[in-house]
Amino acid sequence: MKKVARLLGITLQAIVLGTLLFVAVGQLVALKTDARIFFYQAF
Amino acid sequence: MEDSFISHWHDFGRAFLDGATKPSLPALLGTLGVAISIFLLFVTLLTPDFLATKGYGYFFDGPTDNYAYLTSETLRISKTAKSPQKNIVLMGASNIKEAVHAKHLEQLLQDKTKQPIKVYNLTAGGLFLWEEICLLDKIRNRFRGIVVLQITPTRRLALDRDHLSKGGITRHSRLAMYCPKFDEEMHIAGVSKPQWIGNYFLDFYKFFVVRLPALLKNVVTGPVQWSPQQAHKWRPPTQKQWERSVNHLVKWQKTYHENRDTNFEVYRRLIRYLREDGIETAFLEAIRNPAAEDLIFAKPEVVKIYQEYKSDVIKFAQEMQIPYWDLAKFANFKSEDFIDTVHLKKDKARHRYTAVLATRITDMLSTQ
Repeated sequence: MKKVARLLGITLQAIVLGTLLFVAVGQLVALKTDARIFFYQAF
Repeated sequence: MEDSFISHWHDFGRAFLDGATKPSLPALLGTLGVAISIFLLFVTLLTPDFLATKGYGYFFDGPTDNYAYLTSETLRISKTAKSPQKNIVLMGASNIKEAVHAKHLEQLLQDKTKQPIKVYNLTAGGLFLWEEICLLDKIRNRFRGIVVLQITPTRRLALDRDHLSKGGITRHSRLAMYCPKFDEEMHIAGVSKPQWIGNYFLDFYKFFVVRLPALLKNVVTGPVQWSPQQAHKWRPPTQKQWERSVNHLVKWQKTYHENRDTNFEVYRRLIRYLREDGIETAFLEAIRNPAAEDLIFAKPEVVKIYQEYKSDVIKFAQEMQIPYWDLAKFANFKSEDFIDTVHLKKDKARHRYTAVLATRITDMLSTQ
């Protein structure tokens, strides 16, 4: 039972950190390639 | 018995917390596995169809992310619009976006024509003519009706080629869609065509990666609704900003003569291309704050070149057999209707202008 609980914990950690890692790498790519969202500014 | 049950769950919770919070090799491998899996999901499952349907609104970085909206909305029209029906596309930059209330226009047109006309709002601040070509190229297979196209010297007829390569059009993937006609126009303008590898996510990775934090938030909070009118939330310009804006509205005269012919040619190709599919075009002149007009037209040379511009557009519209509408005078705008030099902020003024536009569109529909 303890093993299952630990495995569930590790899975949760992997999902959270994996998602954040993907977003962080994406942000890094955006920074390096000068990608940005164009928000219109009138003046 | 009860103590043993509590202790059992206590051990379970402790083991779960250990697994969830302590670094370990399985957690590290799992993290990498999840990140790679999400990447593969994006590469394999992210398609224009997905963005137009189930993914609609999830890539918007807030209600003012105009280009995410334009992308999703255009893809949605290209997938779902019913072609036999005559509809309207409103297309242009922030000026027309703030000046026309698309839903109100739709209601007025339905009331006047007694037909289920739809008005698609494809307007965005800073939209270029070449991007409009891209949007229209995308929807032309499913859309039939009238495209109301904003026309103005700034960012349209006086725009020089440098904007195509230096500006945001090619460098930043403001729109995430394949448009052969856009690529063709780029080629004509001497700008190297984008090299597509054929994978939607990888081809437009800049569009997507920059919106990943927004996607993460939207997965939790739900898809975002685009807000078409945004100017009423802007802060009024300072005196300096006002002067800069007026100067900007005068600046186009320097590049007008040099660029008008090439840009009229772009319009000519676009109008003919749309006509092949039974889509008619109408030019809608941009509006201006009367207080700004007094300053803009203070110099006789500006008045002269503006009159030349108007005469050029009228001549071109006659040649192409399309209407040219300059409707500001019919809406009785006052300076206080505007937030700055060209953007309406008051709903009443917007409704007046929309009503005038509805009348013109109805007349055009009745002659078709």
